[in-house]
Amino acid sequence: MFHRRLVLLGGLGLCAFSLLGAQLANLTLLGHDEALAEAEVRLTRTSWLPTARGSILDRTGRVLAEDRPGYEFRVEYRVLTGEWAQREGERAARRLHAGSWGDLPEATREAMVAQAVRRFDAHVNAMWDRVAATAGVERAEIEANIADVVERVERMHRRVSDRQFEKLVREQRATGALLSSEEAQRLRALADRPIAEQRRRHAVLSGIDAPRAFELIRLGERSLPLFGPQFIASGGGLAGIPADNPAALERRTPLLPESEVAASAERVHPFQSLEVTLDRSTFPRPIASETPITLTIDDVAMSIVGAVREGVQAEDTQARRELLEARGDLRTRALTPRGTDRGRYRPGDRVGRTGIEGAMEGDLRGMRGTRTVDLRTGERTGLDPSPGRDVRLTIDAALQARVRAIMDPAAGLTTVHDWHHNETLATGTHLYGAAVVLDVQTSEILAMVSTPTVPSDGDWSRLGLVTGEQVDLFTRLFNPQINRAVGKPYPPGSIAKAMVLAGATERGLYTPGERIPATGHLLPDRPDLYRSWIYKMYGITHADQLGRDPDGVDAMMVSANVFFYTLGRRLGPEGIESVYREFGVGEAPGLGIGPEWPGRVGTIDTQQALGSHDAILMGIGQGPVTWTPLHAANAYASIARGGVFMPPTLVRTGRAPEARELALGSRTVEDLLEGLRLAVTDNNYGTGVSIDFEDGGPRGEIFNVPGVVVYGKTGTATAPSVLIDPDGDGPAERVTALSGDHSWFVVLAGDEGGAPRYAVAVVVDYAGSGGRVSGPVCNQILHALVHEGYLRGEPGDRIERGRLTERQP
Amino acid sequence: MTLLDRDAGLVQAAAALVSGSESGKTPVSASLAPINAAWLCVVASLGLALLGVHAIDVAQQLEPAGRADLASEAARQLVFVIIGLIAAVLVALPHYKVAGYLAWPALVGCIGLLVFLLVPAVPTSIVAPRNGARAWIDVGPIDFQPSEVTKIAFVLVVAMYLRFRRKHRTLRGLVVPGLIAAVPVGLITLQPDLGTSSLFVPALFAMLIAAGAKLRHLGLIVLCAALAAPAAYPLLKDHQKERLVAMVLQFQGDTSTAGDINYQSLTAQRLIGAGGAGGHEDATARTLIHYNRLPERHNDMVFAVIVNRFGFVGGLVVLGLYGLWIAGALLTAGACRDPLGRIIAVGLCAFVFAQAVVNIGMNIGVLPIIGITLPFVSYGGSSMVTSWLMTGLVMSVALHPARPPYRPSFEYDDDDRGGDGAYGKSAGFGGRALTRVG
Repeated sequence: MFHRRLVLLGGLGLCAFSLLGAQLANLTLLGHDEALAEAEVRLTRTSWLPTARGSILDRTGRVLAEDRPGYEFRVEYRVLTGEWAQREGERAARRLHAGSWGDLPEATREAMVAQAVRRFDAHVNAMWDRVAATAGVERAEIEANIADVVERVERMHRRVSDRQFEKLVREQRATGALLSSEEAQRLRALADRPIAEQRRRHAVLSGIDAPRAFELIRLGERSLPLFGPQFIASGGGLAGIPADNPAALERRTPLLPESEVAASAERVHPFQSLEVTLDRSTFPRPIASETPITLTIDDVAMSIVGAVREGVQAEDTQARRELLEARGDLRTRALTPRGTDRGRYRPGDRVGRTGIEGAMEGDLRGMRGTRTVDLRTGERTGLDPSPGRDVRLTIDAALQARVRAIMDPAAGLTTVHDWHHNETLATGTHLYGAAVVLDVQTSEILAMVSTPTVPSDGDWSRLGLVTGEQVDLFTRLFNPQINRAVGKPYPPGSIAKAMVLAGATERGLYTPGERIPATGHLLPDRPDLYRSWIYKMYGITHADQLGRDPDGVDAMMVSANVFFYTLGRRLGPEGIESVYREFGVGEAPGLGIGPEWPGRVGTIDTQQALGSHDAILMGIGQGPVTWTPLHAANAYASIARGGVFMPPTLVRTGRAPEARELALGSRTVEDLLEGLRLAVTDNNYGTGVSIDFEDGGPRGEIFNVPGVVVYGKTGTATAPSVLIDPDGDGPAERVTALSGDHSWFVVLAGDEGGAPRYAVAVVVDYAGSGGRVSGPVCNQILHALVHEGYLRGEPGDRIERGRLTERQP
Repeated sequence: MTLLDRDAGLVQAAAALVSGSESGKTPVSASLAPINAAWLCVVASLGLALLGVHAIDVAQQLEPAGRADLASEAARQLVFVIIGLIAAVLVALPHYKVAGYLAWPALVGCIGLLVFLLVPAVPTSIVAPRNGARAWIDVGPIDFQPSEVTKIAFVLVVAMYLRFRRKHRTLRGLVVPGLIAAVPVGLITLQPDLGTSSLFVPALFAMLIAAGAKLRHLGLIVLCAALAAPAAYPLLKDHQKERLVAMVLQFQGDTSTAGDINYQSLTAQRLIGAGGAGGHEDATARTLIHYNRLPERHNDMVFAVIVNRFGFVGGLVVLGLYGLWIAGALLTAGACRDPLGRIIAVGLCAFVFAQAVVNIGMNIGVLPIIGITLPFVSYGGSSMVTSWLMTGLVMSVALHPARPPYRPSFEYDDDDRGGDGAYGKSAGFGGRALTRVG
């Protein structure tokens, strides 16, 4: 029996050993190669090398945003909160009186600690002064940064600890136990444990240049005895009791305790602010001057360039993953041999947030290098970091700055004047709007301006806004955060007439040369409906004015409403909708720099079908149709291209844009261009030729750029009113704050004897007449195009030291 | 009758002590059995210990020993081996009955020490928690782990209890052996050292099986324990639960925990796998082990080091040496005609076996990581000396054969018949048979 049992035990042992042996064989024999490869990977150590973000350049290669290498001064969080001084003070007091500490009364000890803490506080205080002096900044700047860091970290800590506490309480409840107040206190203490952010160093100063950084490093290597000779001379002890530990008196504290100087790149915008000088001699006569005006333009292209933020969010990581999945070329460059994305986000990385910085994040983002050290041999291998790709914009920064200056109310062109005949706004009121300059050939956006803008530094006082309420009201009225050039819906008004004529001709609903009776009003028995502007104002018809019924060219020249009502009626709701769609309405340009208005045909209530009334109104660009200045400029550029539609672009990719043939006959294009030319040049009938300043002088010509041929169309579009609630206490007392017509002007311009090369669209909100307000703005933009070398082949401006300098002869 | 009140004097008394003979006239040499199976245990112990010293050197030192001295841990381990060897000789020479007589006082002493470990008032200079467990007592230069010695005391006490009893052949009779085990198991679990405490159960079972307990009773207990196990899960400490979860994740092939809870296990398996069939050159193995940063590599995870150095073959050698030790102990038990010697040999054998299986199992990833050492191989004085004491005790059993006439011990006809078997009804008092015939 006993021996049988021994055999049984031995058998059990053998079984167990066999199992172990089998698993051992499995690991060593079957899994050998994989395990060895994995184990050998650990014989190397890989570290990451920093990289730089790509630059954003304008079309001429000027740098709009770039990484500038610099240094940061970082300090331990405990120092920022005063915790460090407290701890060090307590220790120092104890050290100085090491022999007698236990025998001293409690009150004396407290007094000693308080005195020592004050000494350390003063030391930290002196540190900020030293750093400010060395780095060449104001002490206040450092203090503001410290306050920011402390506030941010505290907020984060609160959030983390609240979440942790809730979790602990939930777990406690799950066990079924009741939560006593002591227990709750214990859990609270557990949840309040410091977070990692409270244990690391934070930058209190960044963008320090190399010489100053090295000076700071040298300063950081120095130390002094806080309880040195001076302290001894003044009694040599805390709370009047001499120190009994001479060694503690000699103890030195670094001049810059718990701090470091570290390399870090900073995103800089060299042309964020530019001084622009405008020649006012070509301005409308009442505001013309031989003295040029110099304006400082802030945030020149910032709404396009956009901004980066520090700190990675979950969606950034997700977006990066999707980007790598979608773009094989990027993936090939990004992955290390071990399959790690060299461009993956790590805490503290900068991420493009808005504008091109956000839209082109995948290209701009650099990829880290790797350094792999073989731990056995010390041999180093790896991949060099590849900086992010530069993004070249189609924007010309100098032209952009000039257009900004032209649109600035301080220049005088976008301020209400008596001769504007603005029926709703008082003289002197600032006007805001948008302008777009397109290259006809490529549909590249040379300049895109929207006013007003949100100041990137948050300083609204430049706009004359001081109080919070003023800023609030201004924001509600003018929506400065919207890029009007692409993001705000505008009724097209008369500028759409060119599109309607082109569309009707293309569909065979209008034959070039056909004259349509100018009756003053479309419906014979309704003189109050669908009227001609000339009939409304002067009671006559265009036939009276011209001595003939207008054909297409005449109609464009005089902006004959009845003619276009008729085309609208012929096209019908579906036809006119398709005309607008052909010219890009309904398509967002997809520039990626922020909210875009795709344009819309039809009412907001999409259920309601368009009727013939809508079709007639849309014939003159009114009714249920909206677009943006970019749509307008591109529609005109499409005509100038002989009927080729191309989506506008903001980034030069080297790829040809996808073009779409509109099938306009050459006669149609010729007639359209002729009509547009006459509209701005025919002294007798053109609607956009001159302005009567009512100053007794002759009419002033809107366009006065020598050597440049202009084709254009005015537009005065009835706009919805802006209602606001001035006291903000409910919808009942809403008042009309802005009303009237938007002022449009779109031109095509080219060198004399050549084809049109640039399309310019200008809209000024609630400014009334297109010719009077937007016309002169357009004219100045053409001057700017000359100035920057786009017309007449003149050399362009150079930008030097934050200022547009005159071109060299 | 005490040993020292004989007229023959001290020399004879000592001779009697060594031989276990009642008769001082029989020469010591005649009563000993110098050629015996326990030498297998000695050979295996020596082989394992020397392999261990080398493995510890490999684990602790990047430079091969040829170019530098042994790593300090390996050198200390060598000293532990020598101390262990001396201790083994010292327990092998006296008759194991002496150890049996000392069993109860020894266990009581051990339990006292185990309780002492748990007293919160004991300063940390004496009982310093390691990895969260209060398992060591610092006595000057030596750290002493009472739970190690408790194993031996436990085997001796159970052996003393079972040697003339047959109560354990009833279900109720299993209660007392269970209680004997429960006290040290409970105290060691409280340290908490679940690894060591879990070894007592297989050891007890092995002794009960050898002593003829009915397999269906033991099976029933195992079944109940298995059913009750899930209920015990909430009682586990967080890190213990975590290890079980980690184990389950590993079986599911989830390697995402390689950086945290499964780091130790997966690193060990990686190094074992990297060893391949024949292992690596000394220098290569040292490099691999060093830079793979295997935790506890000179200690609980030393098996991974051996397999990385010597490959599958090395692993089989280790298993073979344990097989040899176990075979030696079982053969010794088989050759022994005295119930005490039989149970001692089986109990010690079970401890060594269980500890080796659990340790190797956690190294190769089939058992969760619980901190127990590989006997004779892992670094550590308490473990080494205890292991050698076990070898010594087995040798003592082998050296001191029982004298005729023999009475059968644990020889039951068949446990399934349920009868009293060949042993017959006990003529003794309360199940205690008469001792010492002759």
